[in-house]
Amino acid sequence: MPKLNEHIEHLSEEAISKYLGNKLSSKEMHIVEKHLLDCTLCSEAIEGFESFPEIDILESSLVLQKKVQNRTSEKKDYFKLGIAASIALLIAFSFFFLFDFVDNDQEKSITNLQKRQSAPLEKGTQPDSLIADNFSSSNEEFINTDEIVEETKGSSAKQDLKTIRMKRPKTNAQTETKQDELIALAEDDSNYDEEIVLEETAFMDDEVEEVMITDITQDDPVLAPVAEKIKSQGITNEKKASARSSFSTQSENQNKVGQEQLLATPKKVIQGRITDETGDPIPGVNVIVKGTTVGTTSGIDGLYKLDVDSGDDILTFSFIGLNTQEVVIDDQSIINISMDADASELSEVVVTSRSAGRKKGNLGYTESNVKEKSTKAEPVGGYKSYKNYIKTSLKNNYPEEALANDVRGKVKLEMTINEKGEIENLRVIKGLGYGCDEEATRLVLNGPSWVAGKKNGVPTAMTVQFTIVFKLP
Amino acid sequence: MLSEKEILKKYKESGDLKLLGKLYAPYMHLVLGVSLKYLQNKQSAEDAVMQIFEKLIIDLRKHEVSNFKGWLHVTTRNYCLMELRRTKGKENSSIESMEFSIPEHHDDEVKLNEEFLEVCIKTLKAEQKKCIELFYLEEKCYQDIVNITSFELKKVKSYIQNGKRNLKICIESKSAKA
Repeated sequence: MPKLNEHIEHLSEEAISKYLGNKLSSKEMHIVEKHLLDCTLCSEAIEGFESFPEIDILESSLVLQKKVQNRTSEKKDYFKLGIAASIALLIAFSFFFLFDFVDNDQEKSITNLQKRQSAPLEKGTQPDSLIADNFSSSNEEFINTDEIVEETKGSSAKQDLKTIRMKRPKTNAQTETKQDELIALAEDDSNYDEEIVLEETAFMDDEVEEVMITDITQDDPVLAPVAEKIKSQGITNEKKASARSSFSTQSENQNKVGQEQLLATPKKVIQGRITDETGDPIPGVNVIVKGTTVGTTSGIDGLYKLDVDSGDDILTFSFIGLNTQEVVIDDQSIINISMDADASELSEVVVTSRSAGRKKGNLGYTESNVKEKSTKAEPVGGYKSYKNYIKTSLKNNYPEEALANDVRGKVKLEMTINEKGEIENLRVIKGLGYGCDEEATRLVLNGPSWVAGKKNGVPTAMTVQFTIVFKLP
Repeated sequence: MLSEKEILKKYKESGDLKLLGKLYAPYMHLVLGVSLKYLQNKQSAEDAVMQIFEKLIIDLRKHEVSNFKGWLHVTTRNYCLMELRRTKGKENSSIESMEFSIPEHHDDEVKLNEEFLEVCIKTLKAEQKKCIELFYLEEKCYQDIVNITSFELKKVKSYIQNGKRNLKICIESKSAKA
């Protein structure tokens, strides 16, 4: 029965048990409840018991009391250590466990170390390395090592004990073989990151390497079955797909450095300057690592800079109107390019920019450069003198038929002036007839030569349209 | 019979486990209950009781603890939360944040100034007023109050708790002005 005074220190087991069992009188219940309002400890305790009605509070309490009594009557903490030690010894010689920390890039180091391992084996001496790489070529692990520390304890011929302490990695093992199931089993609990101490004995004659685990912290329900399995299968140094381990005998630092070197993919920086045939820089040129989405464009000064993975990569330089170039990087770090015009591409381009009336400030730097360097194709002496030529010719030689029929008007012509300034593909877009079209054509073909237009300072084929006016003299 | 404070002091000096056992004994079922609440597992809760005891062995020699009950409660809760985090990992988002302050409810309660109690009770909302009166003045238990008012049990608890809080605020403000 709970005390009846108003301020209870705390609720007894009996009180709680009865309260929850509705065995208290109303008044008693009130007292309990009043206490609970003030006592969060008791409140929470009651909540806990409420969710486990099957638990006999009094009985559990007694059991716990006994435990504490045992605990408190022990001879200090040596006892605990003693227990821990004996458990450790028991487990020490009955567990086997293998870890695999190898990253994709680490295969090299592991095979290297494995070679070292097999060499001393043949001599029958103790192994230097603890690595047994059992990868099959198709088997690729993607595991990130957390830490590998190794301490070497002494060295006797056959009984070389090496203790390895490491943290279980949180891994995503993606493998298919049986051995991997074992690993997968162990790594099922992805949050498991307890420390595990490993020991390894030297090789026996038939190159069987045993790796052992000592778990001194806690009993490990996850690892135990796995370890047993592995133990029963044994491990060979050759690539048998039963178990896999990778330990480095190098010091932790060395190993880490090795890992870093293998893991890191050193990026190479390539840079250079892109210019045109005349040596002027070309901005806005696309520089791409072929086959990737890695790329950049050249700056206003024609300079570019890129990170590439290997010398096997190819850089592609492209710009509309210019011939695309590809360069194997090899061991260069500076690649300068000179790009020339691609005539065939540009023949379809109609140059429409006019120097007059365009606001300089609105355009990007590329445009303004183009503006300066681009010119339209035109007759030698300019359109003005050309018009005079036409006028004079027509005055002297107006088409007869048109003359007879009082025909006048405009004939619109289109042609291509190639990069050499030659007239190509001259045709009449809009004609008058009555001999005017033919006369116009004749006049152009026999007329003054033309000067090729330029794009970015490069003579380029261009399409030109103009109109010849037929005015009756 | 030594008081808790004295036992604590003595333990700190001597490290005598038997003393600690004596101190811990009356609270063990409460620790069990709280552990059950958080860990939701009988075995874990029982382990927790022992583990927390181990903790006590160390911590009580290190720290100066005045309110053992409060300290024990906080320790228990933190232990449970850590355990939950450890076993369930980050997926369990319902873990409350850890609390390090020691609740002092019990002491506050005693200081209620009865002078203003009656006045303040009248300022309460009807439901709260009713429940407070039934609980404190007529000393009825929850079940009785449920029967009398036809409120749900949860509501009754809620009214009483909120009413109590409002009373406290009211009384304090009146005391301050006085």
